[in-house]
Amino acid sequence: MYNEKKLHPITLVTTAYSRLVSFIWPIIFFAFSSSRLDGFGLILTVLSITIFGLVYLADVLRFVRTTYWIEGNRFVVKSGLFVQNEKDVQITRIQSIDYSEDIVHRFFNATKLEIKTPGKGIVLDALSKENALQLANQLHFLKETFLVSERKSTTEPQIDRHSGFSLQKAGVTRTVYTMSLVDILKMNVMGGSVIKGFIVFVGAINIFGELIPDALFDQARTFVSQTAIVSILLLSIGVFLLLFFIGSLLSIIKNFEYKVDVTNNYLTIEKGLLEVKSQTIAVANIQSVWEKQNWVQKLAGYTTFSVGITSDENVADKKDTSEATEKGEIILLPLVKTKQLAVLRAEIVPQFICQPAQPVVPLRSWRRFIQVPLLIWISLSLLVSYILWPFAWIIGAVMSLLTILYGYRSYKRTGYTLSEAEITFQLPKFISTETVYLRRDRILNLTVKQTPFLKKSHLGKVEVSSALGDSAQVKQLSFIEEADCERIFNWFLTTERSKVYGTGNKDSSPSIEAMAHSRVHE
Amino acid sequence: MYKEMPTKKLDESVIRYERTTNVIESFFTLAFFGVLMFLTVRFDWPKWLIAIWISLPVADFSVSVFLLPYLKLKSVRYEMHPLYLEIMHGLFFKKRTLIPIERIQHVVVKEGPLTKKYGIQMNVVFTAGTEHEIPLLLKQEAEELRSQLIERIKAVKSDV
Repeated sequence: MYNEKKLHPITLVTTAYSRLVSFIWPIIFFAFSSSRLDGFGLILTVLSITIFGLVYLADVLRFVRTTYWIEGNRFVVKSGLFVQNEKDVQITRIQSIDYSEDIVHRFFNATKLEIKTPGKGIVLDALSKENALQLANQLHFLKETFLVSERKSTTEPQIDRHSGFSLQKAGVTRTVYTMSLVDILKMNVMGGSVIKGFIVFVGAINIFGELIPDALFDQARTFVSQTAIVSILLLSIGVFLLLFFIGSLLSIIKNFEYKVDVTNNYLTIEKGLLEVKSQTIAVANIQSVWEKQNWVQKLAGYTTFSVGITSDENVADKKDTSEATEKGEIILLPLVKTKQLAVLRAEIVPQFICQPAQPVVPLRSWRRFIQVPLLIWISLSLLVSYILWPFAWIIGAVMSLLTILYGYRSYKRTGYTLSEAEITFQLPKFISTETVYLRRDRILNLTVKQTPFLKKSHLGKVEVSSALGDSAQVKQLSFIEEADCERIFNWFLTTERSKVYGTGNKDSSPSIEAMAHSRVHE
Repeated sequence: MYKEMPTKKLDESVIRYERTTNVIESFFTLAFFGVLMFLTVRFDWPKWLIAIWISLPVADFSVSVFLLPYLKLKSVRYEMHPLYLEIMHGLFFKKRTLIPIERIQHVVVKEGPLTKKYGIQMNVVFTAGTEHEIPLLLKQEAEELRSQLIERIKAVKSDV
């Protein structure tokens, strides 16, 4: 009755490849250690190969017994070795259709398709590219048709925030961002991990440089020990460079031909040299956006732009195409010129205004950022240098200095800005500054915190939570004026809901508002 | 707005529940210091320690029975705004939280033998990643609040 379809025969090759990858190591291990295992090695080798054969046979049978079809508003996949299961997703609830292609897929021009709805997902491995595209287009078309008919049948339009197809060509697709090889290299050089590694490295050398002469003073300070120190230094620099080189190489393989497309209301990220991956994000599903800029990026005039989405899916599958979904933070533009960001931002997330934040921390708050950590560092280092290690105060002094610097940064840079429907937080971190943009209608809760001490000096903290990944992210403005706390509090506590609510949802908000108001009057 | 405190206060009678739980907790403190007392006598530790072992639980008991319940009673307030639920709590670290009713996903009621005896309910409000407790409401008051909340949640159509 329904047009049942089968997976592409290439599936046999791709599953063989993935099974082989997981079985190859035990087989090689047993085969090469057979001489030492007194004959057991051969048996184990044969056993491994047999198990591999059986598992692959099961894969073949599963392939033969797997069919998929479209039935009304359901997309169904039937598979199973002995007991056949039907798994289905509602077409109208499809959030994204992503694909990934590893080397074998690419060699045979095939695709692994992943159809996601909130809370559920179907993986089809593998389809020919042509079939995959056709299926994606068909699903897209059906979804639109169903949604249109649903809209007509109900008087109130339904909120639709779950659709989007990476393979779709139905809408107009524009590539808004690409990264060349040089960009990827730049990104690695300016990356936070390199700076952190470098700071630790330099710090370690400095501390040891201070300690070594003392430690070696009693021993002969011979030419040999000096060369030893120099060679150790050179070696560690070499290791550092090597690690950096390997890291860059891996990053290039992972991010090769990185590009961001905009299709209707969906963003698609595509990247990869050996394995090509795509990830689709519904723009209306974006909860918050933020920029992170570290010192090096600031000097060079670059910044990083990320978006935060929710995920209610248990990301157990490691081969998931999505990047960092469990945390919900997706780095959309890994490296972008600060000057160009505004234009790109307007194109990618038009619902965000993204006003720059104003620093607001009063001078009398400065000490509050540092007093507690400073006290801890000083007392801890004094204690340790008194009891355990006489040089511990050096570390304590360095850390105290860094704490003071950090406190100064926090005082200078912590800030916020309010616009009608959006709040901007600027929060300094140790080596970077984070600017978070949150829409009021996406905020889960807002808390003003005060202790009697803070109250006395008219200061306070404001904490805001927004959904991210499968939980929430919490951002806090510390030690700002009480008047600012009040301003933010009152801004959040409006009696009127903002009219614009994501996209495609403009008609439903007033009804909520009206209902709430009518209840109040009752 | 910010200058106006949330209107609803806790009922005076919930103080009895708070006091009872604190008395029960004090017994554990008492047991702990009893053990210390025993050890002091048994192993001939300095005698002045006994003074501490006696005075500390007494201080703890009097504070947690006579002072803390009153402070807690005073510190907790809440209010249902048209679109928001406001909760104020905290003795030293005072917090005022606004939760848009749109964002509330479900409400959990916590009950135990003691809360039942005193006719009290603990309500926890869940959003898509945070939870907030409205402590120590009288049962009837809590049910009223919950039905109001649920009614308004039903009106909400967004799903995150």
